[in-house]
Amino acid sequence: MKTHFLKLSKTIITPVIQKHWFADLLFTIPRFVCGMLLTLSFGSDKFGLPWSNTANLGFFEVVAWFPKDVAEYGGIFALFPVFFAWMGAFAEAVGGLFLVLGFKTRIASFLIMCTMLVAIFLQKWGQGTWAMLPAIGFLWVSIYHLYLGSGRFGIDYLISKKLLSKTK
Amino acid sequence: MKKLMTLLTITTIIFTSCVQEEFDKKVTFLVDTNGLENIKSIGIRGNFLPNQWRESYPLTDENKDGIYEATFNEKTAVYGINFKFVKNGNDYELKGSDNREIVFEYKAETIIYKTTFNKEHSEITRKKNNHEKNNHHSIIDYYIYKCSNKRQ
Repeated sequence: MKTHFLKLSKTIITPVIQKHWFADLLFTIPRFVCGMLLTLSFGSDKFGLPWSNTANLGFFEVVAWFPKDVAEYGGIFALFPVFFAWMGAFAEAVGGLFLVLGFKTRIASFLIMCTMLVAIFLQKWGQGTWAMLPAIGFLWVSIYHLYLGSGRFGIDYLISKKLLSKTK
Repeated sequence: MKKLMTLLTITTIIFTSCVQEEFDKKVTFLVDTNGLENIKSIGIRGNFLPNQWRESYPLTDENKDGIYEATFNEKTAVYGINFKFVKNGNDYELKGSDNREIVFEYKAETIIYKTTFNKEHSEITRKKNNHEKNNHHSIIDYYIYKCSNKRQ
């Protein structure tokens, strides 16, 4: 069981490395920018982090209006609005930070991808392409980093190198 | 599926404590229009109304003393509200000036905002909510109006 878990976490962490470091750098730039935007703006507006600007928002709290918005999506979102609101806000704020650092990149990418799909199809749909654009942008970045992982420029790369040297 | 639903329920209960706390706010607006001419209606527009700034919410003057009033009740965690008063539907007061603002304290509050139409000076009276019915004599027309605090 433990071996399976370690194998899985190793697979999740180990990034796909490009032939040349410059290609990794090119992939890192949008990941870094999107991560910064998510954690400093979109996410921290509704999720309590030390750099959140929202008044009266405690650490790791989701802003009060967000579960109400989420409940309006209907279905399972109306049943568990707090859970989905907290997860969505966490994905943006903390997932964004993880994207910046290249730490647990695939997990962060998966959470962001799910959040952005919900944002596009349940929140922004029908408001026009411009309204959907930020979520679509984050979706693309999260999709290709779900496959690539952090690349050379991230903490995952350093962890995976350490894990690899241990198994050798 | 049953396990998943149980897990989601437990997680929801845990996460409920991770939501920003909201407090009851009761805000009464009193706008003196004495001296103004050709008044067909007085309304308020602001970022706290369901339609944001697009439509005005009417204030009333039932005793015809020239002071128009409206009261809003909402449970909210917002930092404050911005608004302006309008005459006859869309004729804004304080043209070229900043919006009027009430900054909330992070607790239950009853606020009375007194001002004169098109004058920047205002008087804000605050008191803690005590969950008793407010029988303030100057409040003639009492609205209970569920307003949304959706962000712009």
